[in-house]
Amino acid sequence: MASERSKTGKGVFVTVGTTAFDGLIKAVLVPTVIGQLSDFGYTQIKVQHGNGREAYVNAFTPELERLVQKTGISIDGFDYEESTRITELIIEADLIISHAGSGTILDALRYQKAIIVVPNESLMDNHQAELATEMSKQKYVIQGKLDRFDASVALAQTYKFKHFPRTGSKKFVEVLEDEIEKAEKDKMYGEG
Amino acid sequence: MSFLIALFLSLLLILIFVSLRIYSILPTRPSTTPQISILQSSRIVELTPPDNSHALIILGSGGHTAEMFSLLSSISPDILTHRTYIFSSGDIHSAKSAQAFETSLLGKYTKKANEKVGYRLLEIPRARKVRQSWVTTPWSCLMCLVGCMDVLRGRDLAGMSVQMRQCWDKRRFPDVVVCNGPATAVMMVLACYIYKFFGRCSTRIIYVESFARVTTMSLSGKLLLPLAHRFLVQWPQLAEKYPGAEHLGFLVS
Repeated sequence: MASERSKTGKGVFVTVGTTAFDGLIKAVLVPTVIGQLSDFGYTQIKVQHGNGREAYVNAFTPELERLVQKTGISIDGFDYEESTRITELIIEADLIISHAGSGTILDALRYQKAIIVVPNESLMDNHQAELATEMSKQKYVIQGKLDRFDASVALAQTYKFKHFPRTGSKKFVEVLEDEIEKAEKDKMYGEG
Repeated sequence: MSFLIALFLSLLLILIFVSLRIYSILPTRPSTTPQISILQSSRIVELTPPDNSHALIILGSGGHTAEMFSLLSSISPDILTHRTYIFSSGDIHSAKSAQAFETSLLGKYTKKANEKVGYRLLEIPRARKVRQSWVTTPWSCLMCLVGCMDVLRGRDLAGMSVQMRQCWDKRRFPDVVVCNGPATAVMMVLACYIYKFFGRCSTRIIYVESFARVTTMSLSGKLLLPLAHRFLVQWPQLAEKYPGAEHLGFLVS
Protein backbone atom coordinates (compact mmCIF):
# COMPACT_ATOMS: atom_id res chain seq x y z
CA MET A 1 0.00 0.00 0.00
CA ALA A 2 2.70 2.44 1.06
CA SER A 3 4.86 1.69 -1.98
CA GLU A 4 1.90 2.11 -4.31
CA ARG A 5 1.17 5.47 -2.85
CA SER A 6 4.77 6.62 -3.26
CA LYS A 7 4.58 5.81 -6.97
CA THR A 8 1.44 7.78 -7.62
CA GLY A 9 1.63 10.67 -5.16
CA LYS A 10 4.04 13.56 -5.19
CA GLY A 11 6.84 14.07 -2.69
CA VAL A 12 8.22 16.97 -0.69
CA PHE A 13 11.79 17.09 0.59
CA VAL A 14 12.55 19.51 3.41
CA THR A 15 16.26 20.05 4.18
CA VAL A 16 18.05 22.34 6.65
CA GLY A 17 21.70 21.50 5.92
CA THR A 18 24.45 20.67 8.38
CA THR A 19 23.31 22.77 11.36
CA ALA A 20 19.75 23.24 12.60
CA PHE A 21 16.97 25.48 11.34
CA ASP A 22 14.05 25.02 13.74
CA GLY A 23 12.19 28.02 12.30
CA LEU A 24 11.81 26.25 8.96
CA ILE A 25 10.72 22.95 10.55
CA LYS A 26 8.10 24.79 12.65
CA ALA A 27 6.83 26.72 9.64
CA VAL A 28 6.34 23.62 7.48
CA LEU A 29 5.01 21.11 10.01
CA VAL A 30 1.78 22.92 10.83
CA PRO A 31 -1.76 21.69 10.02
CA THR A 32 -2.47 24.49 7.52
CA VAL A 33 0.61 23.75 5.39
CA ILE A 34 0.36 19.96 5.66
CA GLY A 35 -3.36 20.05 4.80
CA GLN A 36 -2.60 22.29 1.86
CA LEU A 37 0.18 19.98 0.60
CA SER A 38 -2.21 17.05 0.84
CA ASP A 39 -4.81 18.99 -1.19
CA PHE A 40 -2.18 19.65 -3.87
CA GLY A 41 -1.62 15.89 -4.19
CA TYR A 42 1.52 15.42 -2.12
CA THR A 43 1.55 12.13 -0.21
CA GLN A 44 5.10 11.96 1.16
CA ILE A 45 7.11 14.45 3.15
CA LYS A 46 10.73 13.74 4.04
CA VAL A 47 12.36 16.06 6.55
CA GLN A 48 16.12 16.35 7.09
CA HIS A 49 16.12 18.29 10.36
CA GLY A 50 19.84 18.30 11.29
CA ASN A 51 20.36 19.12 14.98
CA GLY A 52 16.71 20.10 15.26
CA ARG A 53 15.23 16.74 16.32
CA GLU A 54 13.42 18.34 19.25
CA ALA A 55 11.68 20.93 17.08
CA TYR A 56 10.70 18.15 14.67
CA VAL A 57 9.23 15.91 17.39
CA ASN A 58 7.46 18.82 19.10
CA ALA A 59 5.81 19.85 15.84
CA PHE A 60 3.57 16.77 16.01
CA THR A 61 0.70 18.26 18.00
CA PRO A 62 -2.50 16.22 18.46
CA GLU A 63 -4.08 18.39 15.78
CA LEU A 64 -1.32 17.57 13.29
CA GLU A 65 -1.44 13.85 14.19
CA ARG A 66 -5.19 13.80 13.44
CA LEU A 67 -4.61 15.50 10.10
CA VAL A 68 -1.88 12.99 9.18
CA GLN A 69 -4.28 10.14 10.00
CA LYS A 70 -7.13 11.68 8.05
CA THR A 71 -5.17 12.51 4.89
CA GLY A 72 -2.86 9.48 4.97
CA ILE A 73 0.10 11.70 4.22
CA SER A 74 3.40 10.18 5.39
CA ILE A 75 6.02 12.26 7.21
CA ASP A 76 9.51 10.88 7.89
CA GLY A 77 12.31 12.71 9.68
CA PHE A 78 16.05 12.05 9.91
CA ASP A 79 19.02 14.15 11.01
CA TYR A 80 21.71 13.75 8.33
CA GLU A 81 22.53 11.82 5.19
CA GLU A 82 25.57 11.67 2.92
CA SER A 83 25.57 14.19 0.09
CA THR A 84 24.97 11.52 -2.56
CA ARG A 85 21.86 10.36 -0.68
CA ILE A 86 20.66 13.97 -0.36
CA THR A 87 20.94 14.30 -4.15
CA GLU A 88 18.86 11.12 -4.54
CA LEU A 89 16.19 12.51 -2.22
CA ILE A 90 16.08 15.70 -4.32
CA ILE A 91 15.66 13.65 -7.50
CA GLU A 92 12.81 11.63 -5.91
CA ALA A 93 10.94 14.72 -4.71
CA ASP A 94 8.74 17.13 -6.67
CA LEU A 95 9.03 20.10 -4.32
CA ILE A 96 12.15 21.07 -2.38
CA ILE A 97 11.91 23.25 0.73
CA SER A 98 15.39 24.24 1.80
CA HIS A 99 17.72 26.53 3.71
CA ALA A 100 19.60 28.65 1.18
CA GLY A 101 22.65 26.36 0.90
CA SER A 102 24.21 26.67 -2.54
CA GLY A 103 24.69 22.91 -2.94
CA THR A 104 21.01 22.11 -2.42
CA ILE A 105 19.90 24.99 -4.65
CA LEU A 106 22.19 23.83 -7.48
CA ASP A 107 21.09 20.21 -7.13
CA ALA A 108 17.41 21.19 -7.24
CA LEU A 109 17.94 23.40 -10.31
CA ARG A 110 19.98 20.71 -12.07
CA TYR A 111 17.01 18.34 -11.82
CA GLN A 112 14.51 21.14 -12.56
CA LYS A 113 12.60 20.87 -9.30
CA ALA A 114 10.30 23.46 -7.80
CA ILE A 115 12.21 24.94 -4.89
CA ILE A 116 11.34 27.24 -1.99
CA VAL A 117 14.36 28.59 -0.11
CA VAL A 118 14.44 30.29 3.27
CA PRO A 119 17.77 31.75 4.40
CA ASN A 120 18.74 30.76 7.92
CA GLU A 121 19.02 34.18 9.58
CA SER A 122 20.62 32.72 12.70
CA LEU A 123 23.87 31.86 10.88
CA MET A 124 26.74 34.26 11.52
CA ASP A 125 28.25 34.62 8.07
CA ASN A 126 25.03 35.23 6.26
CA HIS A 127 25.85 35.44 2.58
CA GLN A 128 23.19 32.75 2.08
CA ALA A 129 20.49 35.39 2.41
CA GLU A 130 22.04 37.33 -0.48
CA LEU A 131 22.10 34.22 -2.63
CA ALA A 132 18.45 33.45 -1.85
CA THR A 133 17.33 37.00 -2.64
CA GLU A 134 19.30 37.18 -5.89
CA MET A 135 18.19 33.73 -7.08
CA SER A 136 14.54 34.56 -6.36
CA LYS A 137 14.85 37.92 -8.13
CA GLN A 138 15.94 36.01 -11.23
CA LYS A 139 13.06 33.53 -10.79
CA TYR A 140 15.20 30.43 -10.36
CA VAL A 141 13.75 29.85 -6.87
CA ILE A 142 10.94 31.14 -4.64
CA GLN A 143 12.02 32.85 -1.45
CA GLY A 144 9.72 31.54 1.27
CA LYS A 145 8.35 33.56 4.16
CA LEU A 146 8.27 31.76 7.49
CA ASP A 147 5.19 33.61 8.76
CA ARG A 148 3.14 32.91 5.61
CA PHE A 149 4.54 29.61 4.42
CA ASP A 150 1.20 28.43 3.01
CA ALA A 151 1.34 31.36 0.55
CA SER A 152 4.82 30.26 -0.61
CA VAL A 153 3.59 26.68 -1.10
CA ALA A 154 0.58 27.88 -3.11
CA LEU A 155 2.82 30.06 -5.26
CA ALA A 156 5.14 27.11 -6.00
CA GLN A 157 2.27 25.15 -7.60
CA THR A 158 1.84 27.55 -10.51
CA TYR A 159 5.17 29.39 -10.55
CA LYS A 160 7.11 29.55 -13.83
CA PHE A 161 10.60 28.68 -12.61
CA LYS A 162 13.37 29.84 -14.90
CA HIS A 163 15.69 27.05 -16.07
CA PHE A 164 19.24 27.35 -14.81
CA PRO A 165 21.77 27.50 -17.69
CA ARG A 166 23.66 24.24 -18.27
CA THR A 167 26.55 25.85 -20.17
CA GLY A 168 28.64 26.94 -17.16
CA SER A 169 31.19 24.15 -17.13
CA LYS A 170 31.75 24.53 -20.90
CA LYS A 171 32.63 28.20 -20.38
CA PHE A 172 35.00 27.19 -17.62
CA VAL A 173 36.73 24.62 -19.82
CA GLU A 174 37.33 27.35 -22.44
CA VAL A 175 39.10 29.48 -19.82
CA LEU A 176 41.08 26.46 -18.64
CA GLU A 177 42.27 25.57 -22.15
CA ASP A 178 43.18 29.21 -22.91
CA GLU A 179 45.33 29.32 -19.80
CA ILE A 180 47.02 26.01 -20.60
CA GLU A 181 48.04 27.41 -23.99
CA LYS A 182 49.36 30.59 -22.38
CA ALA A 183 51.34 28.58 -19.80
CA GLU A 184 52.86 26.60 -22.68
CA LYS A 185 53.83 29.84 -24.40
CA ASP A 186 55.33 31.25 -21.19
CA LYS A 187 57.37 28.08 -20.85
CA MET A 188 58.81 28.50 -24.35
CA TYR A 189 59.47 32.25 -24.34
CA GLY A 190 59.78 33.01 -20.65
CA GLU A 191 57.52 35.28 -18.68
CA GLY A 192 57.24 39.05 -18.69
CA MET B 1 82.46 53.47 7.59
CA SER B 2 82.93 52.77 3.89
CA PHE B 3 82.21 49.11 4.71
CA LEU B 4 78.83 50.08 6.14
CA ILE B 5 78.00 52.12 3.05
CA ALA B 6 78.97 49.20 0.82
CA LEU B 7 76.80 46.86 2.90
CA PHE B 8 73.90 49.28 2.75
CA LEU B 9 74.23 49.71 -1.01
CA SER B 10 74.45 45.97 -1.66
CA LEU B 11 71.38 45.36 0.52
CA LEU B 12 69.58 48.09 -1.40
CA LEU B 13 70.58 46.47 -4.69
CA ILE B 14 69.31 43.08 -3.51
CA LEU B 15 66.05 44.68 -2.37
CA ILE B 16 65.63 46.38 -5.77
CA PHE B 17 66.38 43.13 -7.57
CA VAL B 18 63.90 41.17 -5.45
CA SER B 19 61.13 43.76 -5.92
CA LEU B 20 61.73 43.93 -9.67
CA ARG B 21 61.65 40.14 -9.89
CA ILE B 22 58.39 39.98 -7.92
CA TYR B 23 56.96 42.74 -10.09
CA SER B 24 57.91 40.87 -13.24
CA ILE B 25 56.20 37.63 -12.20
CA LEU B 26 52.96 39.20 -10.99
CA PRO B 27 50.14 38.54 -13.42
CA THR B 28 49.22 41.13 -16.01
CA ARG B 29 45.54 40.53 -16.44
CA PRO B 30 43.71 41.86 -19.48
CA SER B 31 41.50 44.73 -18.41
CA THR B 32 37.84 43.79 -18.51
CA THR B 33 36.97 46.31 -21.21
CA PRO B 34 35.84 44.49 -24.38
CA GLN B 35 38.38 45.90 -26.88
CA ILE B 36 41.38 44.63 -25.01
CA SER B 37 39.93 41.19 -24.46
CA ILE B 38 39.45 40.89 -28.25
CA LEU B 39 43.16 41.64 -28.72
CA GLN B 40 43.91 39.06 -26.09
CA SER B 41 41.92 36.33 -27.76
CA SER B 42 43.28 37.03 -31.25
CA ARG B 43 46.73 36.44 -29.85
CA ILE B 44 45.69 33.07 -28.46
CA VAL B 45 44.33 31.85 -31.78
CA GLU B 46 47.83 31.75 -33.27
CA LEU B 47 49.00 29.22 -30.70
CA THR B 48 48.63 25.51 -31.26
CA PRO B 49 47.29 23.63 -28.28
CA PRO B 50 49.80 21.36 -26.53
CA ASP B 51 49.10 17.63 -26.78
CA ASN B 52 49.22 17.19 -23.03
CA SER B 53 48.89 19.38 -19.98
CA HIS B 54 48.90 19.26 -16.21
CA ALA B 55 46.30 20.85 -13.92
CA LEU B 56 46.59 20.97 -10.16
CA ILE B 57 43.17 21.04 -8.54
CA ILE B 58 42.77 22.18 -4.94
CA LEU B 59 39.87 20.66 -3.04
CA GLY B 60 38.38 22.32 0.03
CA SER B 61 35.64 21.26 2.35
CA GLY B 62 32.22 19.89 1.31
CA GLY B 63 30.63 22.78 -0.57
CA HIS B 64 33.85 23.88 -2.27
CA THR B 65 34.64 20.37 -3.44
CA ALA B 66 31.17 19.80 -4.86
CA GLU B 67 31.39 23.09 -6.76
CA MET B 68 34.86 22.25 -8.06
CA PHE B 69 33.69 19.01 -9.67
CA SER B 70 30.72 20.82 -11.13
CA LEU B 71 33.17 23.27 -12.77
CA LEU B 72 35.32 20.43 -14.07
CA SER B 73 32.43 18.31 -15.32
CA SER B 74 33.08 19.13 -19.01
CA ILE B 75 36.86 18.65 -19.17
CA SER B 76 38.38 16.31 -21.69
CA PRO B 77 40.99 13.90 -20.28
CA ASP B 78 42.73 13.95 -23.68
CA ILE B 79 43.54 17.66 -23.33
CA LEU B 80 43.96 17.77 -19.56
CA THR B 81 46.04 14.62 -19.48
CA HIS B 82 47.76 15.09 -16.10
CA ARG B 83 45.62 15.81 -13.09
CA THR B 84 46.80 16.32 -9.52
CA TYR B 85 44.22 16.65 -6.73
CA ILE B 86 45.13 18.16 -3.38
CA PHE B 87 43.08 17.66 -0.26
CA SER B 88 43.68 18.72 3.36
CA SER B 89 44.64 16.00 5.80
CA GLY B 90 41.64 14.05 7.05
CA ASP B 91 39.22 15.33 4.40
CA ILE B 92 38.15 11.88 3.22
CA HIS B 93 35.02 13.24 1.59
CA SER B 94 37.07 15.29 -0.90
CA ALA B 95 39.41 12.37 -1.62
CA LYS B 96 36.44 10.11 -2.34
CA SER B 97 34.85 12.76 -4.59
CA ALA B 98 38.07 12.97 -6.61
CA GLN B 99 38.12 9.20 -7.06
CA ALA B 100 34.49 9.18 -8.14
CA PHE B 101 35.21 12.00 -10.62
CA GLU B 102 38.17 10.10 -12.08
CA THR B 103 35.98 7.01 -12.51
CA SER B 104 33.50 9.14 -14.45
CA LEU B 105 36.32 10.28 -16.76
CA LEU B 106 37.34 6.72 -17.72
CA GLY B 107 34.84 6.49 -20.57
CA LYS B 108 35.88 9.84 -22.06
CA TYR B 109 39.39 8.94 -23.26
CA THR B 110 39.98 8.61 -26.98
CA LYS B 111 43.73 7.91 -26.79
CA LYS B 112 44.85 4.81 -24.91
CA ALA B 113 48.24 6.39 -24.08
CA ASN B 114 46.55 9.09 -22.00
CA GLU B 115 44.83 6.51 -19.82
CA LYS B 116 48.23 5.27 -18.63
CA VAL B 117 49.09 8.66 -17.13
CA GLY B 118 46.59 8.21 -14.32
CA TYR B 119 46.17 10.91 -11.71
CA ARG B 120 47.74 12.02 -8.45
CA LEU B 121 45.63 12.35 -5.30
CA LEU B 122 47.74 13.91 -2.54
CA GLU B 123 47.11 14.86 1.06
CA ILE B 124 48.79 17.92 2.55
CA PRO B 125 48.79 19.24 6.14
CA ARG B 126 46.06 21.70 7.03
CA ALA B 127 47.00 25.40 7.16
CA ARG B 128 44.83 25.84 10.22
CA LYS B 129 42.52 23.43 11.98
CA VAL B 130 39.15 24.60 13.24
CA ARG B 131 39.61 26.27 16.67
CA GLN B 132 43.42 25.96 16.48
CA SER B 133 45.27 28.51 18.62
CA TRP B 134 46.62 31.53 16.73
CA VAL B 135 50.00 31.00 18.42
CA THR B 136 50.62 27.71 16.63
CA THR B 137 49.01 28.80 13.36
CA PRO B 138 52.21 30.22 11.77
CA TRP B 139 53.88 26.85 12.29
CA SER B 140 51.03 24.82 10.74
CA CYS B 141 50.87 27.31 7.85
CA LEU B 142 54.58 26.77 7.26
CA MET B 143 54.10 22.99 7.29
CA CYS B 144 51.29 23.41 4.79
CA LEU B 145 53.52 25.59 2.59
CA VAL B 146 56.28 22.97 2.67
CA GLY B 147 53.69 20.34 1.73
CA CYS B 148 52.58 22.49 -1.22
CA MET B 149 56.18 22.97 -2.40
CA ASP B 150 56.77 19.21 -2.22
CA VAL B 151 53.71 18.64 -4.39
CA LEU B 152 54.84 21.25 -6.94
CA ARG B 153 58.31 19.83 -7.36
CA GLY B 154 56.87 16.33 -7.54
CA ARG B 155 58.49 14.79 -4.49
CA ASP B 156 55.95 11.99 -4.57
CA LEU B 157 57.08 10.99 -8.08
CA ALA B 158 59.86 8.95 -6.51
CA GLY B 159 57.29 6.53 -5.12
CA MET B 160 55.57 5.95 -8.48
CA SER B 161 55.94 2.94 -10.75
CA VAL B 162 58.62 3.40 -13.45
CA GLN B 163 56.00 3.53 -16.18
CA MET B 164 53.94 6.21 -14.46
CA ARG B 165 57.00 8.24 -13.52
CA GLN B 166 58.00 8.44 -17.18
CA CYS B 167 54.61 9.99 -17.94
CA TRP B 168 54.89 12.56 -15.15
CA ASP B 169 58.57 13.52 -15.23
CA LYS B 170 58.23 16.01 -18.09
CA ARG B 171 55.06 17.52 -16.63
CA ARG B 172 56.28 17.86 -13.06
CA PHE B 173 55.16 21.47 -12.55
CA PRO B 174 51.48 22.12 -13.29
CA ASP B 175 50.50 24.34 -16.22
CA VAL B 176 47.48 25.60 -14.30
CA VAL B 177 46.38 25.65 -10.68
CA VAL B 178 42.60 25.65 -10.26
CA CYS B 179 41.18 26.72 -6.92
CA ASN B 180 37.93 28.02 -5.52
CA GLY B 181 38.35 29.18 -1.97
CA PRO B 182 39.92 26.98 0.70
CA ALA B 183 42.79 28.35 2.83
CA THR B 184 45.10 25.71 1.35
CA ALA B 185 44.74 27.47 -2.01
CA VAL B 186 46.45 30.56 -0.61
CA MET B 187 49.44 28.48 0.53
CA MET B 188 49.62 26.66 -2.81
CA VAL B 189 49.62 29.93 -4.74
CA LEU B 190 52.35 31.25 -2.43
CA ALA B 191 54.39 28.11 -3.14
CA CYS B 192 53.90 28.67 -6.89
CA TYR B 193 55.24 32.20 -6.56
CA ILE B 194 58.31 31.00 -4.68
CA TYR B 195 59.14 28.70 -7.63
CA LYS B 196 58.23 31.45 -10.09
CA PHE B 197 60.64 33.79 -8.32
CA PHE B 198 63.48 31.42 -9.17
CA GLY B 199 62.16 30.89 -12.69
CA ARG B 200 61.32 27.24 -12.09
CA CYS B 201 57.70 27.23 -13.28
CA SER B 202 55.33 29.17 -15.51
CA THR B 203 52.19 27.92 -13.77
CA ARG B 204 49.09 30.03 -14.27
CA ILE B 205 46.51 30.41 -11.53
CA ILE B 206 42.76 30.29 -12.09
CA TYR B 207 40.60 31.27 -9.15
CA VAL B 208 36.84 30.81 -9.22
CA GLU B 209 34.83 32.52 -6.49
CA SER B 210 31.99 30.39 -5.13
CA PHE B 211 28.54 30.61 -6.69
CA ALA B 212 27.29 31.38 -3.17
CA ARG B 213 29.18 34.72 -3.12
CA VAL B 214 26.93 37.39 -4.58
CA THR B 215 28.18 40.71 -3.21
CA THR B 216 30.88 39.86 -0.67
CA MET B 217 34.22 38.27 -1.50
CA SER B 218 35.63 35.41 0.60
CA LEU B 219 38.89 35.99 2.50
CA SER B 220 40.84 33.66 0.18
CA GLY B 221 39.38 35.56 -2.75
CA LYS B 222 40.55 38.91 -1.42
CA LEU B 223 44.06 37.53 -0.81
CA LEU B 224 44.34 35.88 -4.22
CA LEU B 225 42.83 38.66 -6.36
CA PRO B 226 46.23 40.26 -7.16
CA LEU B 227 47.97 36.89 -7.60
CA ALA B 228 45.63 34.96 -9.89
CA HIS B 229 46.05 35.11 -13.68
CA ARG B 230 42.32 34.64 -14.13
CA PHE B 231 39.95 35.62 -11.36
CA LEU B 232 36.42 34.51 -12.16
CA VAL B 233 33.31 35.50 -10.23
CA GLN B 234 29.82 34.20 -10.91
CA TRP B 235 27.79 37.31 -10.07
CA PRO B 236 28.12 40.70 -11.84
CA GLN B 237 27.89 42.55 -8.50
CA LEU B 238 31.29 41.18 -7.47
CA ALA B 239 32.95 42.07 -10.77
CA GLU B 240 31.74 45.66 -10.39
CA LYS B 241 33.00 45.90 -6.83
CA TYR B 242 36.44 44.36 -7.40
CA PRO B 243 38.35 45.52 -10.48
CA GLY B 244 40.29 42.63 -11.98
CA ALA B 245 37.53 40.12 -11.33
CA GLU B 246 35.96 38.71 -14.49
CA HIS B 247 32.29 37.81 -14.81
CA LEU B 248 31.46 35.23 -17.47
CA GLY B 249 28.08 34.22 -16.04
CA PHE B 250 27.45 31.08 -14.00
CA LEU B 251 30.28 28.55 -14.28
CA VAL B 252 28.66 25.82 -12.21
CA SER B 253 25.95 23.78 -13.85
